[in-house]
Amino acid sequence: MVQTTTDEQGLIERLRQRDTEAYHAAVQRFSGSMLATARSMLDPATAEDVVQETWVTVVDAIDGFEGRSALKTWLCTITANRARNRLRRSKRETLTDFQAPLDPALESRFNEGGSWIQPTRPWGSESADDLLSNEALKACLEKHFEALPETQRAVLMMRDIQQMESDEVCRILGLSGSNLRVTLHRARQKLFTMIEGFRETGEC
Amino acid sequence: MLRCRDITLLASDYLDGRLRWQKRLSLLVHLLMCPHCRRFVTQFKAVVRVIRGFEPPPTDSDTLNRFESAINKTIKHDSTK
Ligand SMILES: [Zn+2]
Repeated sequence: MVQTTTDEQGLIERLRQRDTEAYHAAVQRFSGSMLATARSMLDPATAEDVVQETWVTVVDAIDGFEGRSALKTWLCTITANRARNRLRRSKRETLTDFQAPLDPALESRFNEGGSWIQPTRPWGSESADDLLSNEALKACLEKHFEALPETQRAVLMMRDIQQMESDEVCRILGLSGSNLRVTLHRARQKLFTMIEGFRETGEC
Repeated sequence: MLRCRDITLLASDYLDGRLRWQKRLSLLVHLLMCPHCRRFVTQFKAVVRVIRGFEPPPTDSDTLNRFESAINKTIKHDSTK
C-alpha cells in the first residue's frame, strides 16, 4: 500500500521542515495534477483559488500526512475536498446524474439476446503508448474529457487519473459505491467509443 | 451463461479486479470462446491505460509563482508567531 519512494520521502521531510526550496519543487511537480482535479469540478479561476488555498493548508497539514498514498494522491484528495466545498457554497449540488450502466452508443450494438450486432473492429495496435503517441487523438481525448457530464468527469479524474481511494471519492461526491462504479464505467465507455470512432474515421 | 452484452457491462469491474471469482470465471470462459468480446476487452483495457496515463497540461509560471508566494507568506507568518 505504501507508494512513497525514498525520493518522495526526502521531499516530504523537507516540506515538514518548511524548506522553501522543497515547496518550490513540490509546486512545480504537483500543481498541474491539483489544478486538473479542481477543474474537473470548478471553473478555471475558482480552481486556481482552490489550489492556492490547498497549498497554504499543506504547510500545516503535511505533519499529519501518513504516507499511506502517494504524495500527489494526497494533495489531490485535499484539493478535491476543498473544490467540493466550493461547489456546495455556490449551490451547485447536482453531482448525481443517475444513469444506465451501458452507454447508449454501445447498447445499440447488441441484439435483444445480448449478442454483438456490430462488434468493435481491431485497432491494429492496442497498446496505450501507441494510442497516446498520436497527438491528434490525444487532443480529441482531452476535448471529449471536457465534454463529459460533470460527475463522470470528476470520477474519472479522481479514480483513474489521480488514483484516489474509492471511499474518498464516494464521500467527496456523495455517491454510493455502486453509483461510483457505474459512473466510472460510463465515463470510460464514452472515451472508448470516442477512440473507436477516431480509429475508424480519423476524425474527432 | 454470460452474454456479450454482459461482458461489456462488466468490463470495468473485471479490469479493476472487482469481480467475485465465479463471475470472473464465467467471464474468462466467455472470452475464451468469443473473439468479439476478447477484442472489446483488450481495446477497452488500452483505453483505461490511456486515461490513467493522462498528463495535465503545463501550468503557466505566473500561476505557479502565485502559489509559491502564498506558501512563503504562510511560512514567514508562522515563523514570526
Ligand atoms: Zn461475446
